[in-house]
Amino acid sequence: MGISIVVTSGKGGVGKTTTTANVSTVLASLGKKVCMVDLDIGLRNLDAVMGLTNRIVYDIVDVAQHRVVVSQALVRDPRFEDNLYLLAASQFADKYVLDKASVGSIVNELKQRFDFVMIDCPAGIEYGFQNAVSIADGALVVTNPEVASVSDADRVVGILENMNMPITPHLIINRIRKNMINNGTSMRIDDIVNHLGIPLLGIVIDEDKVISASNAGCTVAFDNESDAGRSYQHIARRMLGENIPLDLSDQTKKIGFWGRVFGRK
Amino acid sequence: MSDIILKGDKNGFSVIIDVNANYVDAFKELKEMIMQQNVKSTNEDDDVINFTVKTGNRLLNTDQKAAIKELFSKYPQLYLKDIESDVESKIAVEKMFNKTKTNIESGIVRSGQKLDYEGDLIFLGTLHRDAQICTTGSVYILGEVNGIVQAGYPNNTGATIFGNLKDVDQIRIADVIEIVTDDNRDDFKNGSFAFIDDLHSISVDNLKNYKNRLNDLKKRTG
Repeated sequence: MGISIVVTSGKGGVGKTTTTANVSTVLASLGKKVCMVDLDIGLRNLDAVMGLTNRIVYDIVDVAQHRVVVSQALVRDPRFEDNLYLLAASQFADKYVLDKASVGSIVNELKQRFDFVMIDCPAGIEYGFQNAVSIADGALVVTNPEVASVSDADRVVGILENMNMPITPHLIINRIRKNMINNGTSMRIDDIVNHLGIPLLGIVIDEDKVISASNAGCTVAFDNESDAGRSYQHIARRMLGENIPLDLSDQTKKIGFWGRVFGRK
Repeated sequence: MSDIILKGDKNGFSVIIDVNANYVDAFKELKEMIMQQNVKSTNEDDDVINFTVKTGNRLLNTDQKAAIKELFSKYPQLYLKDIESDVESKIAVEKMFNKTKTNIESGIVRSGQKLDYEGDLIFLGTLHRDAQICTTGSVYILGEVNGIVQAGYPNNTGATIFGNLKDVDQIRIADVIEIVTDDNRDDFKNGSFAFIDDLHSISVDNLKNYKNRLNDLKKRTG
């Protein structure tokens, strides 16, 4: 029996889908069986980031409405042997065709087959969000180091805490701008972590390569040159219980700053 | 002059209702005629007699049809094959017409949009990724397509997709789905056509070979 983890943020555009894709691919490469579920009905993106759009025949709405069974709708990613599958969202139906019961039964069925069911949540805290978080065992809250994103994440964490998930929500701070950290104009990482009060799973540098990789339909996590890629590798391995110090995600020249930030914790 | 004419041939009897007759009178006469017919036929131990009611340039409404059917159902010796008319209502004609018409679509079909047609489709526009065009007949693509093209929905295996197949994500004909991946992307070129072959899977070939392929298929499938 696997676990289901929802990737959520409240605010849009902070990197939920990118995080889902990268963490899932790393977990799959580490030998875990992973299924990504896109619940952003009507505005699906996960398939495009993974470069699997052309392979979609059936989607989660077809499963929920019993036109096909789950295994028929799963799209296998050929790059990860038999370890990584995608259950795509529907681009044509609207979100109200799903409800907590149907999403719940689909995810529970997937949990029998997979070690990790990674759920890509739609932005906002409305209907689609409620469906996504209601059946999750745990949550990855993604935020950016900016006021709007952190305050939305705060709202989301509040909702998640009221749900008493089996696993406490964990935080990923995404799109950190090195130059802003260096000249002190960014929000401080430890301030964000203290403010939100949930465990920090990892930080990811904002990098052009993240975008170019997803444009090419692959994930940045396997680019050895990329700091962001390395961060995603570390996040996934921390999820598997490995103890990797946070500051490893940035081994670059000029910064003693990271040592300061994380040495303090 | 009589309102109805009874004619017989090897397929049974036809009752022709005179187009100038009053329908109420004609129906009355039909009733009487059938009663007489039935008296005659029940005397013999005969086969069921087939009847076709022909209404000429008159179109019966559903109540009138039901009344005739009810009349015949009273006599098990007499079987009503059909009620035929030489004319058809405009609505029905439109439906028939739509099945065989050729649609022309220009403009952009965007992500999340699905356009359905009846008949053939000439596609001049742009089909974005995650969008779909779907028709019961064949599709002729002159524009650019990135999304899903469905021809012959839901079960017309004779439908074909012609034209610019470069960059398409998925081709669907009837119940067969062909996913275009890096492995087979080179097969899908502009100026080709996709069809269901005799193995019931989708094949793609250059348009130049269309006639030969068509002849081949006909030879094999009869």
